Parts: sequence; structure tokens; C-alpha cells
Amino acid sequence: MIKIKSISKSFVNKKSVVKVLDDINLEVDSGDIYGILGLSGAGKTTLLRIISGLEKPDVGEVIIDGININDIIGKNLRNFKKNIGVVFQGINLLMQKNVYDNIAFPLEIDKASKDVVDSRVKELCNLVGIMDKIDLYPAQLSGGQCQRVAIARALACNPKVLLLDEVTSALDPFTTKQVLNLLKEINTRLNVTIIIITHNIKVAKSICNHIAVVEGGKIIEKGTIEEVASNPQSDFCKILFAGDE
Amino acid sequence: MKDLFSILSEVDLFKGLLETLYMIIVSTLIAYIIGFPLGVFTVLTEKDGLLENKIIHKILNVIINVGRSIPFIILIIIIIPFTNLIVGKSWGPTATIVSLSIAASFFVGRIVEQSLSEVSKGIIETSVCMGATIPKIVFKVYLGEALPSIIKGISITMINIVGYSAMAGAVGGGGLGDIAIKYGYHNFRTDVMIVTLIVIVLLVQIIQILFDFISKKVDRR
Repeated sequence: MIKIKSISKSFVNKKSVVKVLDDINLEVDSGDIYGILGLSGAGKTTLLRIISGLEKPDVGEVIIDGININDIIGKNLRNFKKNIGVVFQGINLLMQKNVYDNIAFPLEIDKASKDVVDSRVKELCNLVGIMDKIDLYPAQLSGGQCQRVAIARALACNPKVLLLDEVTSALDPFTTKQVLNLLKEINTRLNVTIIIITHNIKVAKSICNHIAVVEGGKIIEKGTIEEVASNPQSDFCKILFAGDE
Repeated sequence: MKDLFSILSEVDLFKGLLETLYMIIVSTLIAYIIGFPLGVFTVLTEKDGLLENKIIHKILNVIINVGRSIPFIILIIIIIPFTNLIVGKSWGPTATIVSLSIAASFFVGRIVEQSLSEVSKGIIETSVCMGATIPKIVFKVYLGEALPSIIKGISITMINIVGYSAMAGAVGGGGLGDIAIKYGYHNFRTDVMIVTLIVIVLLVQIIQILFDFISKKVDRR
């Protein structure tokens, strides 16, 4: 359902041109939990920003459900974005709004009626397990709870795809496990395709069915998690997976 | 030195206070009507902003900087023809409001810009990904998130205007500054000067405390 075709992206610094992504090709099927694995600076986040439509690639295309996202603009693009839920790295909640209003925000943008917003927000709070925190503000929540709110908000408009950037990197192992279980549940129960960016191999192993390993802006290995883990080809992956055993 | 009661019977301090309040409130309102969009567009047009535009950003920055560089007492004088055109005269509190509003607009533009810059890039980008329009992001995200800081900015603006309005008193601008200069300076009435000063200091304190309180009250962080 998501096809990423030969994407390249460079950033121009004052002195030099840095190629962040170099000919990236990926195919994510509907219902996948696709892990994009790599060290910091490998280009993972840029790739996610391109898939989310936030950034345009220099060359290549992103096709979601048969639609090239670079072909649509303005209102159509804004509407199309509702198919993609995004959770960026860090806590990106409205700090001056409570949990309810945070989750209601995308629905409000979608001009949903008050009743629809109300029932949807409560449904989502139940799904991610923060019903008892609905009136609290992000500053009153733990990191894990904030991520749950962010995930609920990303799911508000019933997206087909969820893009997640390091959603567990700031969490302790226990909370990480809880959030990963939640993601698995979302994937199976709501049939939402998930693309998750992580530098943590354990995260990839515990929820992804496919992974792509990115190093220096290139995909050096991809396949099912079993294939890559059991038979790593590149030196990078050999070290990466060996260290985990 | 006369006692306070006889000073008050001689000098209409209350009228001066009302004039000063009138100048502060109306000028602050006008300054925000002009300065707020100035600050918003400066942020929107900055690098990686929602309406990134190098040229417009530069122009807005130059406007704010040049506006803020003109000493207030000189601004009052150079815009006298404009003030005459709008108010019909160039002295008194209403005329002073014209120059106060203009001077404060540039100041407001800058502090609004600073308040909005504090809003995290991540939440702006997340909103873009949700399909939010730019007005929605400006009013709901920028404004909503920066509200405590913007409220603090209002008190800084008002206190600045208190200072400016006293300067305007030197050229017949009305208000407490006018009284302090007319009586305290030109007529050597140190007692009036001191009493007027105390009123001004109290006024500034009240503005500061009030807005700090509101800012804290609305801040959920």
C-alpha cells in the first residue's frame, strides 16, 4: 500500500551538500508493521518526514494507496493527510490543552461535530488506556502516558497508516513494552499499517514483521525480521544483530 | 512641603491618572491590532516557517527594527502632521495615543515574535501533518501554546507605554507625566513630583502583578 520509489534527498549546508537519503526503495504492505532501523543520523527521520509529506524528496516518489503524494496540493493534500497518522520524536502535544482537547484537535481540524468528537475521543482514550487522565494536562503525565495521548491523537481520524518516530526511545523498558503492545493491538484490531523508526533492535524484533536497515542514507538490508536477523549480510547488521543475542 | 491633602486639592492627580490609564489601554489595544500581525508574519516567514519567505521576513524585520530605533520623543514630533490629520490637534491624551500606538506597535511586533518562537517546532509540524490550515495553526497552536508568554508581553508593553506617556507629558501630552513635569519641574514643586512618581510606581506594580497572575493562571505547563 505504500511504495517508496528511488527517493533521494540532499540538504545544502553553507559549505557543502549533504546527501541524507540515497536511492531509497521500499514497499510496505497493508497491515505490516515495518521497522526502519538505523543509527542516529542515518536518514531515518528524513525518510519519515518525506513519507508524511512534510518534506519533498529531490527525486523519487511516495505512493500511498495508489496516490503520489507529491501530485496533490492545497486542500486535497490536507484531506489526504488524514490517512496518515504521525507521531514525531519527542513530546509534541499541546501543552496548554488537556488530554481530551489534544485528541480532539485533529477531529476539530476535520470539522467533526461536537458529538462525534466527544464519542471518538472517549473511544480512543479507552483504546490507549488513558481514560482516567482525560482531564489532565501533558505536564501532569508521564512520558509513556504522553506517548499514548500522541498515539490516540494520531489515530483520531482513522488513518490507514501510522508513522512513528522513536516513540519508545525516551521510555523505560517496562513502559516501552506496554506501548509496543498497544501498537500491536492497534495494528491487529484496527488494521492500521505501521511504519516505525527506531534505533533499538529489541523494539524492531518485538513488533516488526519487516525491517529495513538504513546506514548513511542507504538501505543496506531489508526483508522480514526473521530473514535479516538470522542471516545478516552486511557487516553493520552482523554487528547489530550479534550484539543482541 | 505641603501635606498630601492640600496637594490633591491643588493638582488634579486623579484626572491625570485617568488620562494615563486611558492612554495606556487604548494605545495597547491599537498597538496589538497593528503589532500582532507584524509578529505573526515575521514568525511565519522565517526560515523553515509555514510561509517561508526570505524577502518578506527581511522587510518585516527592518520595519520593526527601524520603528524601534526612533526615539519616542522624536517620533512624537515627526508625526505631528499625521496626528493633526487624525485627531485634529497635536496635544492632549488622545493625540498622544497616536504616537504611543505607533511606537508600541513595533515593540509588540518583536515581543509577539519572540513569544511565538518559543512554541516547539514539533507541534507545529504535527499540526501540519494533521492537515491543519495556517490560520488554524496560528490561532490554535501558536496562540494557544504561547498564551502565557503573550500575556506577560502585554504587561511589558503597557509598562513601556507608561514610560513613553510620561515623555509625552513634556510636550503637553496629558496624564501623570504632564503633571510631574508641569508642576514638579517647571514650578519647582518637588512635593507634587514625588506624589506623582509614587502613583506611577504603584501603577506599574499593579500592571506587573496583575498580568503575572493571569499568565500563571492560564499556564498549564
